[in-house]
Amino acid sequence: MKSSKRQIMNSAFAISCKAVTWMSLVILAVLLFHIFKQGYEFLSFDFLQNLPSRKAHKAGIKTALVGTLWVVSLTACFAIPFGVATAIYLQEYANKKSLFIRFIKINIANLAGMPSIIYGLLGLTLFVRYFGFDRSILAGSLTLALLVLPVIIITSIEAIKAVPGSIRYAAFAMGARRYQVVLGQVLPAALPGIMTGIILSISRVIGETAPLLIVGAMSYVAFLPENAMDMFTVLPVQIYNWAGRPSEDFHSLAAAGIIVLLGVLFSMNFIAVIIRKKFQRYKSE
Amino acid sequence: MNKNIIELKKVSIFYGENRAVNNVSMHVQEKKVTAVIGPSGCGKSTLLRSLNRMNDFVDGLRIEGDVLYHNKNIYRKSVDAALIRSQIGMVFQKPNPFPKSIYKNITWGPKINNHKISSYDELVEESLKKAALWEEVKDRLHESALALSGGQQQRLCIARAIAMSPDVILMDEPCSALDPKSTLRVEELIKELSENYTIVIVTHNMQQAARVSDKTAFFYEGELIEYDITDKIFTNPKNKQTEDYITGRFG
Amino acid sequence: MAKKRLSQKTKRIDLIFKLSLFVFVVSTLVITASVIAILLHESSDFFNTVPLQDFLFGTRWAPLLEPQSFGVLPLVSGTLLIVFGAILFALPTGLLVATYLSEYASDRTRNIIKPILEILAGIPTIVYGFFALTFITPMLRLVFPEIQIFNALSGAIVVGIMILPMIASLCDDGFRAIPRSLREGAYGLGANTFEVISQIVIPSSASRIGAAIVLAVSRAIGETMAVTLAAGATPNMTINPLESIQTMTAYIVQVSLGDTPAGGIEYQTCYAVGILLFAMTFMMNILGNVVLSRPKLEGM
Repeated sequence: MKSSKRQIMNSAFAISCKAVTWMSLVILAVLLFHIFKQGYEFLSFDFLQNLPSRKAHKAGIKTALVGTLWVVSLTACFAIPFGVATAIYLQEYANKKSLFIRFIKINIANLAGMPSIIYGLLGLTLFVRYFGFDRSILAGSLTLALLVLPVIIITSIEAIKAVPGSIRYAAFAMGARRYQVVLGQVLPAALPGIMTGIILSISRVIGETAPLLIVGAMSYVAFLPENAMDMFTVLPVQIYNWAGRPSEDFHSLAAAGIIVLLGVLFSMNFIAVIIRKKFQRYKSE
Repeated sequence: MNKNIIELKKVSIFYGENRAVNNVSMHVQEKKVTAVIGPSGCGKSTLLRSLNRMNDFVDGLRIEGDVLYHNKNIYRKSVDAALIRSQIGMVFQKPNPFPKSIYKNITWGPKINNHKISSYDELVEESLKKAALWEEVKDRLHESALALSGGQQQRLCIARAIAMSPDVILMDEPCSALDPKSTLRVEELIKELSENYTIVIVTHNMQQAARVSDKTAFFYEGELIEYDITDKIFTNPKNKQTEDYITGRFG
Repeated sequence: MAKKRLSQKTKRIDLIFKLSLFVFVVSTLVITASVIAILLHESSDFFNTVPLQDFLFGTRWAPLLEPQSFGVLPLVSGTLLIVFGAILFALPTGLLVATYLSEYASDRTRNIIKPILEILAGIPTIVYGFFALTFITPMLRLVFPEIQIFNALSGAIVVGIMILPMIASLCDDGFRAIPRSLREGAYGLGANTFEVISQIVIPSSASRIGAAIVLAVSRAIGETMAVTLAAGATPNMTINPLESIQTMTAYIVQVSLGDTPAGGIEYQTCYAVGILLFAMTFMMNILGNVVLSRPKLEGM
């Protein structure tokens, strides 16, 4: 190849890499701008306070917000202890070379990649029908807890791994048993990382739609749930319901709902980043 | 006449097929500083870690022979390793304070071992004083231990070990990660500590061994070549290999 | 003595602690087992009624209409059309982005772009579905006036955007795992950046790139809300992306939202399609994860 042709290829390549990367930023910007533009007019305090209605201008996302709060809290209650306990065992107690443990880890990785809709079918059959929880917040939360569990396990394992081995040795050298080393030293040191992972996983839960649709989140819920066995709706399901209607107004409503959804997600991620930064200085050099 | 608090009888340690320590027999006298010297990789640290069963954490490690502590073999099945470790303290090569406050670093060990402590404040003050660190940190006991300098962190690790009221303190090259000034302070500390504690120190720094220890053991390629009073080892060694090492012909 | 009694007590606590944790660990296996058991059990009647060949190779999917037909290929082809389109968009783009991040970008730029990619990855799929329906399809209509409201192209684009961060980040990790020395050897012989990247870095990380593709495909196959909103609910065996199609996932959603009675054959089709979906993604996940878990460099 002639040298100038090589140079042209080199420059062209460099330029395309840069261009394509910045293009993805543009995509994000366009997406956010479009949503904002469409939903802005419907965004108001009334919107947050109102119950859904057949009239677009009166509709609100209050039930969806409350439902989301319920579902997220319950999901966290189920998934966090389960996930952290599994991570602790796998990282601190398990014989990592054993075939059984490797099998478990592959299984967890697979569960992490399983389509969310399969979790929905699992929840429908197991929790709604077999256990008889019916189309309730409980069934929805249990389903989402299973969905988010592998992610919590994986991020917790990473956080625990990051704790330097020297701290464990120092603790053992003082005559501590493994559970004392784990609870007294490793877990406290890994806590910021675990919390960040949890916050990010939970924020995924907020945006999940398909599994909840299958488990029975209703599209039109005009009351606030009072206990875990009540029927419910969540933010993304409400958005889906509005987006599916032919009217332009309802599309704008959906966009407004999305703005609220993104707002909640953004705040949670922001909190996670703050936690990560704040505890950075506690880590040893 | 100091009794032997630790005795090794024909101890060999294997990493898989590799023999890291070969048929070592020696004793450690109470309330004396015993130094273990030799070129790097000759098994000194492995030997040291077998004294408080820290080697249990290494996969594929096998030990033969007896390690007696207070005349009882610590490797018998009925022995609780955690109990041994609460009585034989360890200071590591790189200072490894817990990512907690200075105060909590010192109280954690006694707490989990359920030591009867009438006043934790007193315990902290005493331990830090014995480790020559009290004056420097007395106003910031509840600040993070990680904010201390390397030398201070290592003295904190020593204070932490002292707080457990051990009778033996093992030190694995405690000064190799420190600057000369901190090294000197820790060396002074070791000599003071030997009035109340038995100390076994592994070091690759011969001059350090000469400065702080009462007895010195010279190791080469996993074998105990010579073990005698420090003065004798350094001025009039019996073994030619020892002499070569001392005079710097190798290592 | 008291010390011995305490040490017995803590020994017991340690054992109890360990066993309790182990219960949770084993439960993760139970989850997978349950999924498989449920999918098989709930669709068993279906497969007793509909012969496997008809299901797997039939080209008409109409379980809810008369005359009923249970050939799943239209759903599979719908899914594959989306996936193919998404990969067509996301793979070259992802590679270029990963290249930019690992080879060209300054640390400061990386610290801007990486979070943005994370944000793109974190946006819920329903938002993308909405975006496809209300922005992308109208835009596409300007170029292809004959495009339908629900169409595969829109779905493919949006799924592509969704898997882009995944491909970019996995490939970026893969590129960074290649040691500097390998690159420097090539530079030292007079190669320029493009040549080093295309002829050294990318081939050396081929297996990781492969794993990234496989995992991204699996993710795209399982994608639900975006394609439900964007691509439609018409089972349709076509390679024309301007038409409306239905993916396996979208079908399951459609049935769940409808009024099909539990236990009927229409209801069971959910699980039958579910098994297929599970099998496809499961195989890809195992493949991708096994490749990724191998040591980063062979022969080092």
